Amino acid sequence: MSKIPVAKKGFRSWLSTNEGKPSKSVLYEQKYQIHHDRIRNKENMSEEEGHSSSFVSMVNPQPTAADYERYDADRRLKEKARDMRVAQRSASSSARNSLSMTPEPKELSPSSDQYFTPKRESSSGLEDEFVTPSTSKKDRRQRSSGSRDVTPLSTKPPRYMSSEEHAYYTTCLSRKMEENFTKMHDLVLSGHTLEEARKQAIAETTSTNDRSPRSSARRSSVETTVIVNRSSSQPAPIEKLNSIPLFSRTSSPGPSRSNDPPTVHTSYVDTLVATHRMHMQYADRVVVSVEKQMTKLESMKFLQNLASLSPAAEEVKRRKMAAEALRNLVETNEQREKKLEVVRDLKDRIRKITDVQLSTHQLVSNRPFKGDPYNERLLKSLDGWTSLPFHEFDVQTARELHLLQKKMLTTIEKFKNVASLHRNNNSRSFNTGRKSIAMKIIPSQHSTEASSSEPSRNPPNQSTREAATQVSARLADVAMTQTSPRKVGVEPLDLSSLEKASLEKRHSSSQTTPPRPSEDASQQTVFTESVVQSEAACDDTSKTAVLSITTPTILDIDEMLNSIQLYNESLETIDSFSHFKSDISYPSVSSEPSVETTPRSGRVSLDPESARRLSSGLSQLLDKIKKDNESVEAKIEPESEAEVEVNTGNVFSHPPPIIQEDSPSAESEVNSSNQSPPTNEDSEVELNLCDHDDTQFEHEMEEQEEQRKLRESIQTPTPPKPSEENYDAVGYGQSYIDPEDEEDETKKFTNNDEFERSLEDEQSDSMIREFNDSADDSGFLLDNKPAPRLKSIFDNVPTSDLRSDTPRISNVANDSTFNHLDMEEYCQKDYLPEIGPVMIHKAIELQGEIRGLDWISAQNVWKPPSFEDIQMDFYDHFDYFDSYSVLLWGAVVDLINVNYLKFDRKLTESEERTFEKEALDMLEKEFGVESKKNEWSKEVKMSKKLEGMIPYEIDYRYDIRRGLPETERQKYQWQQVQMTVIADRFPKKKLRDELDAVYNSEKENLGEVVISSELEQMLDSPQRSIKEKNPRVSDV
Amino acid sequence: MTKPLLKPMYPTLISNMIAKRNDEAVNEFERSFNCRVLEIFADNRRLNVEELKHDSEEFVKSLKTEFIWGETGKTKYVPITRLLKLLKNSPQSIQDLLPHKTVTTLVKITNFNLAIDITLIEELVKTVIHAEETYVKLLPYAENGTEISSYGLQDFVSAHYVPQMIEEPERADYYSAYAVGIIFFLLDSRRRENVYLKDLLSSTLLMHLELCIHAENNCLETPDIDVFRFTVAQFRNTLYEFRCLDTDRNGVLSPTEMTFFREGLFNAVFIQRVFEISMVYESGCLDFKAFVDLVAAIRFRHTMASAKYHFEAFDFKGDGILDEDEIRTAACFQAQALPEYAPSDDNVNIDIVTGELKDMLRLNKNGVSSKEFVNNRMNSTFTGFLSNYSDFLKYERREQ
Repeated sequence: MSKIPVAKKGFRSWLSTNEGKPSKSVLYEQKYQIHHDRIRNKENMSEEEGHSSSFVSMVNPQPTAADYERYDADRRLKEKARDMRVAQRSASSSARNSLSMTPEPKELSPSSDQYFTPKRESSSGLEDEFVTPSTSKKDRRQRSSGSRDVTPLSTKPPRYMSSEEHAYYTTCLSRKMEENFTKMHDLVLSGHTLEEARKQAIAETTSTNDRSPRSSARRSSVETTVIVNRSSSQPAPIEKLNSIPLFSRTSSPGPSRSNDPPTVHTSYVDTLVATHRMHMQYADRVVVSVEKQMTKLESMKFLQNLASLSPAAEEVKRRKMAAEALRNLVETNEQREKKLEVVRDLKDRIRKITDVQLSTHQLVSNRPFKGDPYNERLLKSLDGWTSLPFHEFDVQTARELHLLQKKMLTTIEKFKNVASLHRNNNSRSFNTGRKSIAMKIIPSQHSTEASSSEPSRNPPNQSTREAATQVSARLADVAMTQTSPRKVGVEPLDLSSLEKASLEKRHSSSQTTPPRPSEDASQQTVFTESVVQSEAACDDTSKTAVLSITTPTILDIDEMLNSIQLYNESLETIDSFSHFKSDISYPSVSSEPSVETTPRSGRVSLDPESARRLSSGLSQLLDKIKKDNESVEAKIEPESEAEVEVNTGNVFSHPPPIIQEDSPSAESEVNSSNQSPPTNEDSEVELNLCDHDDTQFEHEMEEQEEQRKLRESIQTPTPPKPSEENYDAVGYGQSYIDPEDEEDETKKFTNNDEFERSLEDEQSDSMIREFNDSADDSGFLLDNKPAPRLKSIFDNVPTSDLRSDTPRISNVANDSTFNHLDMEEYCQKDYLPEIGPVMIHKAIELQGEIRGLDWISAQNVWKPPSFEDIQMDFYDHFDYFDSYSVLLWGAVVDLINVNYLKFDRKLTESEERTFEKEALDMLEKEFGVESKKNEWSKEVKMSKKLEGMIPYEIDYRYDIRRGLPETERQKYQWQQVQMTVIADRFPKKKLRDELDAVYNSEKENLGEVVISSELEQMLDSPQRSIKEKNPRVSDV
Repeated sequence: MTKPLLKPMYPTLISNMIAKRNDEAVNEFERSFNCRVLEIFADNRRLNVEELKHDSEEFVKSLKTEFIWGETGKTKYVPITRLLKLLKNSPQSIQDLLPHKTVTTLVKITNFNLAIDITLIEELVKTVIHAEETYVKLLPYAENGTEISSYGLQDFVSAHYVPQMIEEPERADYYSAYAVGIIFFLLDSRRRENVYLKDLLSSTLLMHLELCIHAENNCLETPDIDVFRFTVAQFRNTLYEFRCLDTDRNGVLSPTEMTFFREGLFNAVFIQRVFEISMVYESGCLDFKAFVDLVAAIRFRHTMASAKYHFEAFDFKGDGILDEDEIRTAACFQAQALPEYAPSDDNVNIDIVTGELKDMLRLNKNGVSSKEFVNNRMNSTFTGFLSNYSDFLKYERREQ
């Protein structure tokens, strides 16, 4: 033991002995230590803390002797308990063997106590019996040291006061502790619960403190408690501890175990649980509180004697107890709630199984259905389970859950078979004329109403109803035969009500997204699909599978929905982030699985007209800008012009030659004949493409729309174009527009009807977008429907000539592009390459003015093209565009400021070139098409150090990270943002500068004070000297 | 008379702030002067924070009038254009809060029509204010305005956080040492005496600490960030582990005691190296702090700090380069003890294992430097493979 010199007495003593000696290994450097000590003593000790805590040496949690005592005792107790348990078990098992194989009802005495009730002889020889070799070694040491010292417990060097009182105090205290502990220990062993024992022990301690009335008080208190708590046949324990009667076990108290549930099953498990709990409580309450009390007391160095000590100790203890009790209460309540939830869930399942069985049964036979006896029994017994101990409960429920799942699977399978059989032989053998319950779905009144009236405005209370109808829709699928789901007239599945929950559950319940009714697929496929899917779900996460089988009534469905949430909150679920930022809610997560793009629904898209207007207007604006710049960059001009031309062409997805055609009038004609059908078609195409995301109701809407359009287009074969003069006038003013373009524009849109219709289209579009926002993304699973009415529509359109074929075909071919202008795509693909260079040149040109400006004020220097003032009708659409250019310009200004405008001079040629290159790169990477390909975790730029910390436990390997659910990513990114923002706020240099400023001003103040005082002195002294010199003057 | 006065008139401390910390030569006057300067500085900061709080309240209020609803009607967004207008009318402090970089990032996180989720901005404001407040609180414990020593931080923890706990740790001083140990480890300044306040604040570790305390106080389940293990329960576990290992009860762990670390699952040579790379006492024993470092290194194996720790441990030659020999040696040790744990059927061929490990690190002839190692994504797998048997077996049997 003495090999290590440090250990015995701790760091300080080591330091004092070794001071000045060179040390071999790295240690806390002594001078720092000294410095710290000095500083601390001067500065901090005087402050509010009163005691210095952190300068304890780190030699370690140097345990006190009492600690060891405690650990030993602890272990001893454990081992003893174990041994007894073993003995008891073997005894009881042998006994049982002799009697019968069934578990005996166990003599009706509360079980766990019997293991702890010592035999008389064992309790007498207790200490020696349980000493293990390692402890005995220690004991020996202690004993020997005890013989040397006054007491074994005072070996610990006093930290704050070396006085004798302290030593005395510690000894006293630990002896007291020791005493109390053994008492308690014995009490516990003799059949008291911990609470009682503890109470007694505490009562004793408190009475110990005021010494005089101690004996009597203690005795009385002990006796009363004992008498109250134990059965009267027992003697008071303290004085006669060692003479506890052998049979104390049989009469050991029931009431003390009131919180222990009646044990129904294996006694062994129960005992284990009880023992375990006892250990836990033991460790938690007694040891911690006593120990804490001790350390606290130790550290109060102003305490001079024991007497003044006691109230504080008591106070602390009481506080602890209260906190403990509170926590216990909360815990038990929580547990109970959780149990109840689980039970409810189980019941739900059983009910569902029964329902399925019922419907199966009804399909098959006419006789009345008498449920599954097992289920009934289970249902009855479930209620009793809540009183089981937690562990046991868990085991039981898990087992039942498993069974139920299996059962559910088989039931479904059976139902499937029966159903298909039933369907096949519908007219013949099973022609019973009965309908199964599951088929009696009455499409709820609300839903149809809701769906026909403005679905875009969801009334807030609609969620449950929605859910109900969704499920009924699904049911219609499952119930197949009688009604085609289209006729049910239900609302599209919108899982938005579940979205939140599912997000919180980290998408664990993603399996619950049900198959959507597909109108064109045959019933057969729908049915099998759904069942297959549910089966797959069963296999995957067997938890949620059950839920996709439904019961007819709305009430049940509600319950089911609830149970979805409930189940997922299984006992150990931590809903983590809500604690972290409880009120933060992220924007709705993209419904499309692709990481690459913003969800369609999240995008702003323009109808062709406004798209065309937008892009042509843009190109003109850019032209104008370029013309302004002409003088500067004469050489770039022509090619950029051409570029613009080409780009606008691309935007329209027109073949460029059309624009090049001869006379304006001819062109306009060509265009007009060319334009209108494609817009129609395109919208059709788009609608059809949208089908993947659409739901039934939308389909109906679309269908109507289509019909209407069809009629219209037939009525007006060549729709004249809407006039757009006002737009142009408002928009750009005559000065912007080339005469050619202007004419072109005016001729393009001459029909007001068309214009209006485009508005309508837009509305319906926005509606569609609204729907798409739902979390339901399972649509793509079902995209194997036959191509809908495309062909017929095209055939019927009278104006479909050769020309119009080309765009259509191309559209059909690559179905990912919409002729509908998508703002995001447009900005990234077409706008950026044009505006980027312009902005960069502007930045170079205006470098003097934007020096040192941030993105906000830079907008005042030069404003990127914006629609802000132009067209308020389409504010939302152009918002995206405006925001985009604001961001771009801000980025350029940032870049040039950070990297190039550090020095107060103009950029050189080469610098300009490198800046141009870098800026282009940056724009492309950050804002261009590429920006979506970035790894999401890299989107936030962090410093090296922060990156290395990896705030969340996220595996840095790419493939794993990619699989993370959206919320995790957002969490991660959010964390990154947090870190970077804070890091930006506390740069070392800034802080130091600030400090320096304070320092300098203070120095000046000080200087002034000093100088003025000196001056005063100077002034004083001459006066004095003058006085001294010329006393006569004054006299005179 | 004037001479002694002149000298303290021009204190020369702040210019070399870093030197000041250890400067024994500072006299009373200088020290008090420094204190005064720091106090004034802290006061200024406090005023600034108050102002910022007020401004940001106004800002958030106005933000809430300028939003568009998301399509679900649940989330509020503010488009950039409107944000810009708002910011133009806001005071400078708010403008500083949302530089272009941040705005761009927020837009990307929001991923909706180039708008920003309002809650994000609100949270950001909250975070910044929290950081500023923490900074002001930290200042009295910091040596100067930019960095704080581990002792200072310990004092801070025990003065500010420990009293918040309902169930106080068994030993508050060891708890603070434990928390600070982890913080320092994660900030990659394990062996340094000081850490920059900037790093400390931006790591948001203190915030996690608070959350852990809060969770424990209210009997909530510990939050996800529980990985940082600041709760008293976790502290108790670590302390318990330490005490259990400390069989001779001298408060430090000797190499022999450490052989039982985690049931001997760890590579013997790794454990041995731990002693060599940690701060040890004269007798070559680990104290609690070093033990916390080790535990943290094992727990946070995916972090850079841990990678560095392990690199040091496996760099037997201590030349800053991990080469084949070293890997082979470690693997040998690993394989020697293996039969106890693994059945004989998978005998480990050292050459194959070494080759595999080399591939993992993309090792060339010259070996791999610390920097390269840290940047390597496989490093946590590598270190797990070599340092303990359970990870080793896990990796060996990954395909079974």
